[in-house]
Amino acid sequence: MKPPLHVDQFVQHYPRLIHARGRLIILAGMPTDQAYYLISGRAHAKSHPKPRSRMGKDFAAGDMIGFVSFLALDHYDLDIMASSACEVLAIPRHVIENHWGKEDIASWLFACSMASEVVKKQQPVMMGFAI
Amino acid sequence: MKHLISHIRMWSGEVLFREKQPATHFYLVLSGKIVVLDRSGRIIIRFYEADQMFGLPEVLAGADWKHTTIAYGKTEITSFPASVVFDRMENMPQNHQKFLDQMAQLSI
Repeated sequence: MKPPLHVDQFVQHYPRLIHARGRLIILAGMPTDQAYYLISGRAHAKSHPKPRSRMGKDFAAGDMIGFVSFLALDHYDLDIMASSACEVLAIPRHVIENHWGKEDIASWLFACSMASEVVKKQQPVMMGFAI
Repeated sequence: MKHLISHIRMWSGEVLFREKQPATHFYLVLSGKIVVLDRSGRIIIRFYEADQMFGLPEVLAGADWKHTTIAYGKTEITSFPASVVFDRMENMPQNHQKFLDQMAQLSI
């Protein structure tokens, strides 16, 4: 998923992580205090709860990895593995939030709300109902 | 526009909207709980609690509600008409509009 941010502005300021093919870039349970931008290479979700969903499980250069989880949750809910050698930029949450908010704060709120809906709809609670 | 935003108090079991009705509003839960039922009406498939917003993807996509949604316990919500989000989006940068449209498609 391509974020509505000019990620180029962050490249000089935040750490680039190099991952060999087969290494985990994101582990399920990691806090979503950083977003991961794929500068080069490919990655895929290892344990995707709904592989056929339109959320996609493959990531290419220019994508934010696990971005719906980042927007919706406190912790990532997927393992994401490098499918090839990858260069990844780790951007702190407050930086994303500040830049996004400066461009348009409502857009940030709407994006987080819709990301939460994506996650809720993929993980139905299935509880019996009675009033 | 403020007068179009309404505060709604609901009793337990009161229906907010039914399956196949057009999504003309989105909502913020202030207190209590809103539950979404499966088509049998016997299973809760998801719920929304205080400070959670819902319905934005359906409103943005101009979709119909897929499931009947009711209050579970005494519940208070704020209801926002579709025009709130469309008016707001008109003033957003194009890349933000595009991103939100993608998110809406992903979540309906």
